[in-house]
Amino acid sequence: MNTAAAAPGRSFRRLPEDIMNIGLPEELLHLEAVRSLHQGLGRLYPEVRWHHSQPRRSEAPEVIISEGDACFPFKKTIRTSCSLAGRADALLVPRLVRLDGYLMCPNFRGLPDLVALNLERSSSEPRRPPLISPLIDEQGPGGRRGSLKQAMEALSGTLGLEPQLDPALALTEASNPEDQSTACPGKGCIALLGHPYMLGDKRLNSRIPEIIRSRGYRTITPESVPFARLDRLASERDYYAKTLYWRFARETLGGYIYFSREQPVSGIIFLVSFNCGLDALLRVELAALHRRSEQPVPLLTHVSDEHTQQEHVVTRIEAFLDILDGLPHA
Amino acid sequence: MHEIFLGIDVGSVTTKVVALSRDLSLLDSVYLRTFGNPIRAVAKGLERVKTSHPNIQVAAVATTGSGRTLAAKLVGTSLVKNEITTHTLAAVHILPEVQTIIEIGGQDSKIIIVRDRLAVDFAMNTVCAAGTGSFLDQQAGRLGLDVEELGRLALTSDNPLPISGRCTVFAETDMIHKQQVGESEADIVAGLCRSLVRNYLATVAKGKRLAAPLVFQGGVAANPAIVREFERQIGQPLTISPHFGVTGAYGAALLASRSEEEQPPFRGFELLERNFHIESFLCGECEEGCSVLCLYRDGDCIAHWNDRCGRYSAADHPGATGS
Repeated sequence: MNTAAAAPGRSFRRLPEDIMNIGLPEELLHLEAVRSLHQGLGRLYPEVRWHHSQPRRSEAPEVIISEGDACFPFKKTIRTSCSLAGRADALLVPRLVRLDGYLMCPNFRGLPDLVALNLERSSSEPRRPPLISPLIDEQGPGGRRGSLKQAMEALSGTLGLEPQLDPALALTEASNPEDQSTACPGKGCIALLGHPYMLGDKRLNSRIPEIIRSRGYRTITPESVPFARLDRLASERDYYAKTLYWRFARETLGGYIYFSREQPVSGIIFLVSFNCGLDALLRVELAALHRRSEQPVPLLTHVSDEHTQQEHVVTRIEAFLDILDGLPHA
Repeated sequence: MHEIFLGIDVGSVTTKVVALSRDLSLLDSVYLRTFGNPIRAVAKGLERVKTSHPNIQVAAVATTGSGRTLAAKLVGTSLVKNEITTHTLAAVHILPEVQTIIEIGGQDSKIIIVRDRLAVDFAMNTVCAAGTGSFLDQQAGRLGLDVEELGRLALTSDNPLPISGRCTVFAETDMIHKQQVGESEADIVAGLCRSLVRNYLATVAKGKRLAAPLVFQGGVAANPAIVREFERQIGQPLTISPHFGVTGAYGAALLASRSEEEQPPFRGFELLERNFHIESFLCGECEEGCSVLCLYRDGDCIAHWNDRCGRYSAADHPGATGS
């Protein structure tokens, strides 16, 4: 399903220097599954040059389809994907359906379709490379390995690439660019909760991790804890008519319980995006848990796209850190 | 010459300057409308302080408010603090046993929970200015009243009318409708004050425990009808800060008095003699597209800020990062 699709009528064209350029939007790389896929493909096809970020602002293309009420991270991912189209021989936009057995939100499931639609309707984009969208559905027997296989076959078939080693050896656990130890030396740790792209993307998180670190705190995320453990903690709250079946909702909820009870940190900041329904639900849930706690770890919920002025972001984060520092007011 | 500590609070609507003596007694306070020109507002504030007290020397200065970074560049200080912390400093200094601070300013409203003289929790309004001073100001203007009159008029009403407080647009629609059907102006503005307080408690305080004693500060504390409504809805008396209009600047001045860091020489009075202006440009180096600001003094760019990555501001002061 959708292994190599979209952008009909376009054929692959190699760049003059004969180096294969593949675009994979940076927002998705904050998801461990996609990072793992990317690193596996890097081992299989070492000759490929990867592109992830949007170009300079002035060169970014207009996105035609507004995607209605979708959240800002989703819109940004579409924009990044479209901007990569001009520089890449192929776009890799995985169709993320289920991770670790839990669902991704419908927007991200439909991401390849929206990217394809935008590319198709964009009149300003003369080059439309093939869009490769391997299915990542970690429920069935194939799982992450199956999606790597699909992506590899698509790259071989569409672009004529030959793998450099046995695909079974290519896929290992993804390494994280950030140090993910759980030690909290110095002033302590601030746990950041939220969707991985909110935690990792500077534009989406308004550089909050940098502000925190500049004040001497270490930032820590749920990725440092095995998901199975977070999932078990989240299941304590499975009393709804339906259990919380979104992958990153379980990670966030489990992360909150972990960092407030199992390994208490100095403070917790929940980074949310305004239009995310999942985040709206979790805000209420975390606030309820926080209120009920006898010794609550200070919690701040920050709606990133409610602030266009960086000063307003700094005000809230700095005030939160002042509280943690116990700045004497008397 | 006697030494003073200065606090400057550049807010969205007003700019405040407070001067404290060495013994922390209030020497002077200035409250001005910013009118979208913070450089001129800061200059005017400093001019008033200097004119009233010609023999002063500024020992330390701190800035706060949404224009705090600009103000710090103008006067030359590294003491730049968020409003939550400065408002807490001021409230605790004035009433050490304070437990809850309610602050409503021009476009900000905050609640700060204090225990043992330390802030332990806070919340602020977000993108919506419903229930802030500028909303009251705008509605007073629409009714042809001064904002000060609005509170006094509301106090004469025994029958506050239901007005939507969740959104300024809906509130205005409600008020216009009630005017059209002939309701009294006093009942309408009393209803407005009631809805503002209801909105604050629902969207800013959001169920936080409002323990006594409560201190009310910020420009809106001047409105007696809002005070009455808070006391009615919370069921507890409020202490109005004696410096309610300038508490942010007051807290900043207190912060300046505690600073042990060596500060650069105060250059705020240069504002009265030299030509300062700001120019901005849109950085295109990445997708963030920061609007980078540059402060010019007599035609020379002396400081950059508002560049999130620090590309420009770090070059002003090697080793520093942008804000």
